[in-house]
Amino acid sequence: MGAIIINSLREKIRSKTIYIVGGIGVAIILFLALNGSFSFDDKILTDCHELVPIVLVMVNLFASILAIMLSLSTIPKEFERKTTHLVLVRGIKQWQFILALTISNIIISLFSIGLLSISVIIYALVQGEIQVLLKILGSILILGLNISVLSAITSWLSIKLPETITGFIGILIYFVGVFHSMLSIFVKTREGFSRFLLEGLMTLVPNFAAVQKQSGQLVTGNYVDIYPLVLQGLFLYIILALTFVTFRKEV
Amino acid sequence: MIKCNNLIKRYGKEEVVSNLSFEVKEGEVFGLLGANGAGKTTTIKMILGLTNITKGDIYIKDNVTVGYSPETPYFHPFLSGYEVMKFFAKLQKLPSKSIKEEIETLLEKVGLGEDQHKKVKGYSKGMKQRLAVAQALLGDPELLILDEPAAGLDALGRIEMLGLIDSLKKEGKTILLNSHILNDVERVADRVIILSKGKMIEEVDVHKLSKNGEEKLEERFIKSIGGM
Amino acid sequence: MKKIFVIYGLIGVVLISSLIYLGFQGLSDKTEELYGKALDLSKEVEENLWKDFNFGDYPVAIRQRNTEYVFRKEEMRKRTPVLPVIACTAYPVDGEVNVFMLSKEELDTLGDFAEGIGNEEEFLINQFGLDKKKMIDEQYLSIMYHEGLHAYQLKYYEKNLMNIAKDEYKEIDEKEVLRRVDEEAIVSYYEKEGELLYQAITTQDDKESISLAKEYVSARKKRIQFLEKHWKREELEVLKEQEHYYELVEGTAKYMEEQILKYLEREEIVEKYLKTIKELQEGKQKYYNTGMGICLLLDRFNISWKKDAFRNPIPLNERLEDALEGL
Repeated sequence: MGAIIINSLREKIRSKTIYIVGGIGVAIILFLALNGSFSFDDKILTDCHELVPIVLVMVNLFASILAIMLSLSTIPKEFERKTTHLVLVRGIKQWQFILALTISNIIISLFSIGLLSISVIIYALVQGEIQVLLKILGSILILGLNISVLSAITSWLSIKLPETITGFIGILIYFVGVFHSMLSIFVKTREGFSRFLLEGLMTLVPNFAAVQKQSGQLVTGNYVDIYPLVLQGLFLYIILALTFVTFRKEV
Repeated sequence: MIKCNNLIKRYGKEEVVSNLSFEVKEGEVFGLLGANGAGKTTTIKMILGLTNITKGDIYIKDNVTVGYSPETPYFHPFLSGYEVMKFFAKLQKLPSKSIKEEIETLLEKVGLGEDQHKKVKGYSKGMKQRLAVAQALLGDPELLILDEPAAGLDALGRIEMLGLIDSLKKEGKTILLNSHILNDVERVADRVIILSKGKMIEEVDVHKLSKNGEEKLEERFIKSIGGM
Repeated sequence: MKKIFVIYGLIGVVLISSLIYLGFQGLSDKTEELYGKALDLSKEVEENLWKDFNFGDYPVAIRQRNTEYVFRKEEMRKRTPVLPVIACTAYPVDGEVNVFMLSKEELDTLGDFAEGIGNEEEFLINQFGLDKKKMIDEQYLSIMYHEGLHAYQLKYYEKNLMNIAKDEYKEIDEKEVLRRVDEEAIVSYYEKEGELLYQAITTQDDKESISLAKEYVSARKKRIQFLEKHWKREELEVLKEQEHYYELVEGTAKYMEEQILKYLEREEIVEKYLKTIKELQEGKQKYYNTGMGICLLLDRFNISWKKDAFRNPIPLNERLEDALEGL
């Protein structure tokens, strides 16, 4: 399995997508952060401690887009190219192959958030806030949990669905997850069957907002709740388990 | 080595393999002959477990090691021929000590010795085909399933490939050969079955055919599928 | 292969056990300790700050994640959250008014926005974990008492307070009215009022305070006269109702917060609270502060004002005017 992961990573590292989107992301984030374009409560935010969490959210946004883009075609491409044949005849099970490709998607998505984090690091250095770097690293690790879940979901969906549909659902899941807390409040205002249905759907979507919030909490030196992080870990666990049991009929 | 009984494969309502029965004996080169869409590749996929069997049974000798060379191989273009081989060798969990030596020997065997460190993206179709055969030989398998191994090769390449198959046969390997190039099959195969629209039309003992000198496989094939 | 599944299974067991452990951890000791402190204070507050308001009379539902821990003095039981929103407030549950709070840790993440979270703010908090500084323990206690006073208002005077907004103007959009008070021409009036009120509260000289308070009352009237010229009568009536309601209901609650902080000797925060009177805030928020300011003046000029504050819910400024009469 390790060989499949490494091979898949080698292919992706050569992909231009990661560097183009990543580069644009870093440029946009730095431009917005250094030009005082973020405001809160009608005040333009200039303080590094207030801005770093926002910059982190921007990193999360671009990293999520990259995670979806990098994860949606890996598995279908391997099946289309029939590389699966040469792998499966060697006694590798289909689930092992899919799991290995999913893990490679997760690793490359984490690599992309690492790449985008350069923007936060540059920003903190420009502001002379070197002491915050360690906290930033911790926050990125927390955000990495979101990115891993999104990548795993996209990979899992791509086993059966066409790429465009996978991409669309991936983006939808990202937005619902990011607005999870607010949407949950909206759902609670509904009644009857629609509430039941919406609550069910919300349960199926990981709460990216809660994890994102903890990363902001860490960087601002506030209380970090472990619970949503463990919950997200469980989400990742379940998605990976689903890759064990989701197969393509024709390989 | 392989025994297929009443194999049936359906895609939806379409039956692409119908009641196919044949046996591949140990140490022989067995050819699957047929026009495009005759069901050859589907049969191979069923034997390899790459597609489900709708009905029927396949028996393969216990613990037999299998090497497979696909018709249109895809290898990551950024890898060299050597790296491709190393990747598959690792998947097969071959002992790491002997991997280098084995890869080099096999690449030499298929005529890629000099190009082994070139990237696959610079390989011709024929070179890729040879690489496909080389990876099938990793781990010295007892059974080789070669799907159109000479496709895309030039005249000299074809001769070399057939020579290789011959030498593998001499090493005692069992080979299931799928090809639409009748002359090639005639040269290396012991027995062939002719498939048309998923059905077996005829089984031919190539040696008898050659010995009698009465008719060539090509004539037999045309007769069987009812052409010309 | 089996080994992989066994390891994977074990990871699952660890994750689920951790979740169960964290879920059963319950409310933090800190929050529980602060509720205990609030309860200990209740008698003193009733005796010294607000007669017949006893914080201990009200169940306090403290939310942590998806559980509410309902305290009734020494007793505590868990329940699923009753309110659809995360907020500090007071609300009746099965006929009994409950005080709703967030745990200290959750409130820390909301910072200054715990009271009256608007949608945009809530959005930013949710997205960015954007936060000012951690709340000190005394502030948490003062917020408990703020909501406690709302519970008291709801329990005994709900009808009186609900009647402040009359039905006859219901076609007027209150939010629009509250938005319009922030127009430049009107803001200058409010600023002047805020400054006078602040001076009247902070001066040590009683005579000066009376004079400033009178000036404040007259400045308020001048604003109303100005609005009479420029606004429709119904709109002005709605504005008066809004001022009346928020100053009385929220102003007194904010006053309670300030009093608790003063009682707990957190003068530096009390000072910040007082400054909010002259540092004009947008919309209805400004009435929380002016309401608190008037309560502080009433303490100076009419010691018994609290007895009738909600029983006879006339506007706080009118009560102040009455108190100043003859002084």
